[in-house]
Amino acid sequence: MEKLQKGLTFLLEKYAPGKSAVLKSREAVELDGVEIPLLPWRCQRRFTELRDLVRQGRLEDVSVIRVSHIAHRSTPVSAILRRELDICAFLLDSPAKVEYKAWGGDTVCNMVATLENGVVCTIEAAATLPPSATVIDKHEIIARRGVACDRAVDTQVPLQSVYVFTEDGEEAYTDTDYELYGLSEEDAAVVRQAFLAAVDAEYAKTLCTAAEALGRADI
Amino acid sequence: MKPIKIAMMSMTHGHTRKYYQVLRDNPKLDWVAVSTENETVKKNFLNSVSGIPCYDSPEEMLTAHPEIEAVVLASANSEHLKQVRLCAERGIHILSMKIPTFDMEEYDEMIAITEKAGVVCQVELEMHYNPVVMRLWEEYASGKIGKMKAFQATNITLSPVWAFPWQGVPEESYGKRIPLSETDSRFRGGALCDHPHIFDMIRHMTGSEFATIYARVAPNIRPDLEVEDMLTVVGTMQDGTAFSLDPSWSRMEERISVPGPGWEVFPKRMEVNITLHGEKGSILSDCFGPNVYHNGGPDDRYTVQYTYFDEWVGLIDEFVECIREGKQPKINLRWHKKTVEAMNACYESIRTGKAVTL
Repeated sequence: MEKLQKGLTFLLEKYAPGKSAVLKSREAVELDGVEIPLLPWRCQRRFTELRDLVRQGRLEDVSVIRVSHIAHRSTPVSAILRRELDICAFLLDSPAKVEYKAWGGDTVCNMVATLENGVVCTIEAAATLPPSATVIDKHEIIARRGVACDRAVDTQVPLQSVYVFTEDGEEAYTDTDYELYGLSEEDAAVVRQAFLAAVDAEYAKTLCTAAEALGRADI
Repeated sequence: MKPIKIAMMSMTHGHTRKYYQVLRDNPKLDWVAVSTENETVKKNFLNSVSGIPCYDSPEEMLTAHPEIEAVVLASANSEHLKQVRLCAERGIHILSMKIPTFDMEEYDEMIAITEKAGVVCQVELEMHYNPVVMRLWEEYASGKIGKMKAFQATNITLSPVWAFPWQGVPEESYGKRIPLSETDSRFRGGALCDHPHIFDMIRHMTGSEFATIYARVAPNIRPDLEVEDMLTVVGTMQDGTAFSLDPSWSRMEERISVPGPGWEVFPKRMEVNITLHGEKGSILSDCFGPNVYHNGGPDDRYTVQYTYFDEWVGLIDEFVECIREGKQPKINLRWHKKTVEAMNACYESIRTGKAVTL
């Protein structure tokens, strides 16, 4: 948390001197003594860009969102479902409702949800990967006009920016944020969202509302 | 610290739009004015940005705003010397586009007048502020792959000439009308002039200078251009590193006058991929990827929607710091001179058909 707080303090000092915020965890930031819930995936660039494609009308008449997410065995499936349900709502700016879940033991769950605007979402969640594996997820928005996806055509696993091949094996890295270089994409998103909440009260309110909705969802 | 009063000139460079957000967002800057090259450029600017006074000439702008401390020269290469003089004589700090000039006498004059005036002159080579490049550098510097044996890189894009016509005019891009060779009726000033980054990056990564350069142009994929659009460059550095560089305009575009959605025909309009081979391994990098992808409007073509756009944040941060703290930017005129010399050597190799020794 120390690295994340350092990043947050850096952004606040640079762009909003005088403001302060304390990261309590990856799920909450404290602003003036009030805890604001964080839904940090909303600040990952791939999701903001996908959302913009819809908002800017590049996709027309969205029908379906298809999501798959395969996480480490230690990850609670409910946490995956919560994240992905919120991503669906975020991408289309429309509240989500869980319709049906099919569990495969306690490590896999296939869920159908609907958005208030009529879009149908399929979320396939699994917590089956060994600790050494890279988390695999994919978000595809299918519309009458256009398909948008955060994974390139003909790929099954996420691409990365840098691959290092040596006698010791293979390493891979993805860095997208110059100002928060050194933080993972996920951690940078936590910092970015905490920053936005600290400087924009309306944004903080939106997070509270979304988190409350997720709390009521049948996950 | 008081924000730096900054302005932009000409607004005809392809990177102009990249500055709009960062000049507004960075609290250490106060964007006070712009001057535009012509009525079309003015109209395009006013359609994109509001609240910034817009003047018809740099002189008019500088007279109206004596408070200007720094200027981004967002202009054709052929305008740079004139604008550097204008700024330096007023003690105004300069952020130059990626090619100050290809004329080495002009280049030396720029060094002399900026140093005499004591102003910061930073050259816009934004790849230094790309987080993937930072990772690539860190991994290489860690010693994991040992000493570098080879550097291979692409800096390939669509051709910007339909939106930024000066980039297809030899006198405005290269600075002079010089045929590629006795047997080639095309002129210097095309794709090579647009892509200095990988020539700079190999110097940065190896800490060495160019030894030999062999460059070869290919037939244009845009036969109606009078400048080169496809070429390849290979050679060696003084430390023995072999290189292969592709600075082509090899990604086709729609010929639109204002860049926007639907510009690209090939899904990814701009790519900088760098591969390092060392004694103990290899590193592959995609400096602008992964991204998100779609086939929506306006053309229903499979298209990359970029998630990488931080370069100008770091670039401007360094510029501000150098001005306020009297520091020399990493990419200053003296550092960049050898990169421009290497690019000129490419044209010389193309002219003679032989490798050039630097």
